[in-house]
Amino acid sequence: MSEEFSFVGKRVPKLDAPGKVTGQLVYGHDMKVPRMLYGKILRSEHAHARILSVDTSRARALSGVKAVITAEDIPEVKIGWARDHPVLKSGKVRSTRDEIAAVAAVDEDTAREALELITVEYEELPAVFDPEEAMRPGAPVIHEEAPNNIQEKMRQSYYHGDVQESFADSDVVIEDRFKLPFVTHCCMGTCFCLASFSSSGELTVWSSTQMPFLYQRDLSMALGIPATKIRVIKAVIGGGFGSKLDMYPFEPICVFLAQKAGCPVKITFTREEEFMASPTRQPVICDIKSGAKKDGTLLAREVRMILDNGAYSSWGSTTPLVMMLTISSLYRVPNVKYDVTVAYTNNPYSGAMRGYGNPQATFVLESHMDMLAHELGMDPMEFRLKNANRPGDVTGQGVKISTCGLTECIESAAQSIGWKQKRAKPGNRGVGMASVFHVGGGARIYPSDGCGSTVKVDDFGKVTLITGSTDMGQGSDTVLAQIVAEELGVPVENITVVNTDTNITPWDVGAHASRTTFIAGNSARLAAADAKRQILEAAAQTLGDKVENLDMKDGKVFLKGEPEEWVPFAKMVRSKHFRPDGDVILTRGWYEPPTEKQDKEFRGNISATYSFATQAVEVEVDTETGEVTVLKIGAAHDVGRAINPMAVEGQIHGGVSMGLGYALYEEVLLEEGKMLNPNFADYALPTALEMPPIETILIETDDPAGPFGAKGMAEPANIPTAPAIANAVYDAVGVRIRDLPITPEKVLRALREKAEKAQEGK
Amino acid sequence: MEVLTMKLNGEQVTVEVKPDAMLVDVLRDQLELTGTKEACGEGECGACTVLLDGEPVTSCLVPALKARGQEVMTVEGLASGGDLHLLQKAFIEYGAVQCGYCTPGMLMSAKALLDRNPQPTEEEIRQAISGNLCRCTGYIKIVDAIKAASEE
Amino acid sequence: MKWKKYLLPASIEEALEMLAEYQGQARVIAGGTDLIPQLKKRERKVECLVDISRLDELKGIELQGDVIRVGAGVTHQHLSSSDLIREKAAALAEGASAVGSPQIRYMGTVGGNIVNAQPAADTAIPLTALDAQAEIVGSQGTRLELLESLYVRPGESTVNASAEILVALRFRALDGNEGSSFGRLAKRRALSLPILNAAVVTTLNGDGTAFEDVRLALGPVALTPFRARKAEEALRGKAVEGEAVERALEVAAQEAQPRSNPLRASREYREEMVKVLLRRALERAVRAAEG
Repeated sequence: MSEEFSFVGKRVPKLDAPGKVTGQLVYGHDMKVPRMLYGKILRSEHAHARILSVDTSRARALSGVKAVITAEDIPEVKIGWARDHPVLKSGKVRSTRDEIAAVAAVDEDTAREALELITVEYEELPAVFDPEEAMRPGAPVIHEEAPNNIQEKMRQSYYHGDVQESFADSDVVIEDRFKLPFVTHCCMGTCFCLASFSSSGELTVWSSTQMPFLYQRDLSMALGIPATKIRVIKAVIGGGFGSKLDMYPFEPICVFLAQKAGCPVKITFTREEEFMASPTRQPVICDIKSGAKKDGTLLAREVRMILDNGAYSSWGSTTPLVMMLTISSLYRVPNVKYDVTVAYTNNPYSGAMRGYGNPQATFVLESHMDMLAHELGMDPMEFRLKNANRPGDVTGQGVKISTCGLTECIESAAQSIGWKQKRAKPGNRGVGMASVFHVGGGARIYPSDGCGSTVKVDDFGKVTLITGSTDMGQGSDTVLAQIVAEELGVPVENITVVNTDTNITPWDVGAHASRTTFIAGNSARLAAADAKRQILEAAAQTLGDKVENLDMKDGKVFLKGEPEEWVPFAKMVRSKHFRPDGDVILTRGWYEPPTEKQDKEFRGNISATYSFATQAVEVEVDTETGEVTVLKIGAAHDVGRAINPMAVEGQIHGGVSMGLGYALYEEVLLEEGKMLNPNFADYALPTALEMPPIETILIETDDPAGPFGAKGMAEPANIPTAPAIANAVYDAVGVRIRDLPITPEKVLRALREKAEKAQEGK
Repeated sequence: MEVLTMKLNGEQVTVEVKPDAMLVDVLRDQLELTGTKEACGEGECGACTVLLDGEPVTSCLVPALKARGQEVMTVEGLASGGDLHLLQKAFIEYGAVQCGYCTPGMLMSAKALLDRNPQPTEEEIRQAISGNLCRCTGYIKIVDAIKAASEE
Repeated sequence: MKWKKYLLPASIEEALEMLAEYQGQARVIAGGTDLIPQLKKRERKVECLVDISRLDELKGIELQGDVIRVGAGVTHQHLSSSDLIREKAAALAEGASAVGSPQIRYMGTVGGNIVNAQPAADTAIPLTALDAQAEIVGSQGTRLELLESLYVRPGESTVNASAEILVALRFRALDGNEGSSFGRLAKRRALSLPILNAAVVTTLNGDGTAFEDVRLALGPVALTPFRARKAEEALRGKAVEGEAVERALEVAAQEAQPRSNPLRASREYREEMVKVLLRRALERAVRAAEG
């Protein structure tokens, strides 16, 4: 199919790869500007305590210290999605990561020493670390504004159909409780911020943000500086995965330090800080009840979720909305009820992380789908196929499914691991699968879900795409360059991409919801199409032919049907420029997806298209140790079209490894709100030795709304892995693990319980 | 301050360092070789891997003065003349780079492997980079790239 | 400032002189893979580091008669790839190859692994099963100690790294009727401390059907590397498979005293795994002895 294209569908290497393999590319972590100071933050020793006093006098007196700030020195503004988070804390601290004071000094060692000279007197308060306990009457109150410890803005109830009636109609009804842990992004490059004021008072912030324009707005609010005086530049960053969606307290702190010191200040998180102070994926306690007919028709789903918000609200507190989409719309399910409560605790607060609630929801749903299939005596694959979403479906939530490759995903993923031959066989090997439903054409969570682009073509044929979107390392710049190259008809080598400088680039809501290829791609395509039209019009005038007879490909302008006779496109650009009424090629594209905000009952089509994927895995369980080894993963993803198959595979591989970690290894361990494992030795990411072979299968459904048919696909890659593994463990040894990670100890305990039950049964 | 003389990427270099300076900081802050990244500071992620006398070491755990009189190679020393190293070319061509933060360390571990074992098996490649964490790629394309470079 | 002086002696004698000069304020550093993180976190304090990692006299692996002498400066990488060790003390090669990561194995040394005194260090466990002795040089000359006697508690060794140097480890090379093996459980295959590790050395009788002698070492099941002596006793003279082995494994699980650690595993799981790990290690060691 991709033969008709010159650049779309090609394995184009990442534009920034040469700079990265040579060490030449300068990351934010590498940046230094003249007179730059180093900032450090003092954090709370307690999870919940009154601050009686903060004495910074000794720190201020230390040679080399240029600024020390506490809450007294800054405006009293609360940040975060629910505006419940003071930048520097006064009165009391609510978690162990809480910022109390900050210093800027000539070097890191001095800044660290200064922190040690600050003394804080606390009066410890009773604390609560379990969301269910937090909601009980009499629990310690974390925010005066929320005396029941509930984030009321996210108390939601959704329904379609009638679950009570349909449970009565069901032949099989099952009910279970699942628990998901804290996990965290572990970007290899930690968070950073470099703030500098010009003499005219303009603030420039080099940041690791993945949402530059909302960040500019948030900074303005936190600082009391007009947004017109703020320039945000995203420096080169070492991964995002959602961790850079919110503005965190350290960023305004960095600016306040720069303001006070009169010098640029940079704050870079240590690894320990990154673990403790960049939010985690929210833990979930989920009760689910599912019902189906004997013939395998899924009838009803009732889900109650409790989320641990931690002490403050970030964008991550809105993840229940994404969970809701999966609960209402993954597989055809006519009756759904969903209630969610987000509870404050004295744990570190949770945030946005790849999948945005969907990994939790999908783990629960896809585990339960498997359990239902077993109750029904059906092959879990057949059960899924029977209930799979299909093109043209409109779900109970008003989600309009256009292209949908779910059936192909299920079938091809299953085939890739030999599902039919291997399922339900004796021994300690087993197979499992899980699917995912996710937004694939943006997600309207903000008044605009659009992105702007500018294409500039100069006299030499150099094409510059100025995009509103943000490349965190995932490679979106390269994909956008391919889209422009294809649409415009110039070689990809001619294209340079400029991203993420709010003084230069047009607006975009940010890199989230797997939206960049779809939204920014459509936007870039519009700007490129206009540039092509203008070049061909100039060519028509210059060559004295009709514009509709001309075409442009690979940088050559030619008569349709006669590609051998051509002129270089740059010559045509110049012919437009250098004439009496001349003009340069400078075009714009603005793409706003044709979607709607949800109504009060959460109904509405918030994405222009939806993504589907199925991952099937084979595992082996060591029944003596409980260790689970993943032998192979087949990952079939409906990507609409792979603009760059190599980049798509990279997203799938990376997603799977993150899902593998979620399934088997990763967990932020907290004791009384303190993190026990803020390091890579004790928080175990998969290494190269843990990664199984992955067969990636790209299902191309050619989405009519997507740029050259593409849809978003990056988050889905990490969503179905964990439930697929849990389901495979069940197939292998007959034990159902309901809480992640699936540690050897849990597996062994479950095996023992199963054996004991069997014994009792006799 | 102490004088540290070492051979760095093939050239003799002399630099004054604090007695307790770590090699990674001398490379990045004093010699401005910022290609080497530091991502944990405890030898648990491999991002700061450089070659010390040809052996892969995490430079966040190496006191700078340990390198006195030794040979150090960083990612900046991989390419020779204007030519990228085979590993660098393969990393580009095979999509082994995403955010790129782990890339310099990965390349140095891979170089150490190929210098000793020019035709490694896939398992040997995975072993050789098992001290280098990557959060973006799932390692698969990195393994592919190293394999391809070894077959050149 | 973490330390004020970093010294690179040219010989053991010079290193000892440097240590003496600092009167307890200096400390020996080899690979530094354990010591540097401790110093960075200020868990230890020193004025001066004396780096012995370049001393060739500490880097040899030699067979002296029927004794293998491993210099304390031998790296894990060197140990795990040494043909002599692989043939005559396989458990040690396996243990060394399980340490941390390639980078840590290239830097870290067997001597450092011992002096750091962790009860489950991956070379200490096989060396314990090999009944190794340690050569320690100080101002008073050389002393020879049983490896086991060097351990006080986690992180504390009787080797005074501010005054003396562990220079070598010695143990008997295994004969034809002897075999050894090492096993380990961890969260993942690299960059992980063990949940449990075990090393086994077996000597079989003439026809290879019974244990003439067995040495079992385990970690972390005590404050120091642990020899499961009651289980060893229970195996001596018994058939290499069958009832007696199962009974001995129960004995081992009884005498081992692992603790619960939220970062790794519960006490109950570890106790259970003592049996699994030892059984598997025994089987491999027996196979090796039958070789």
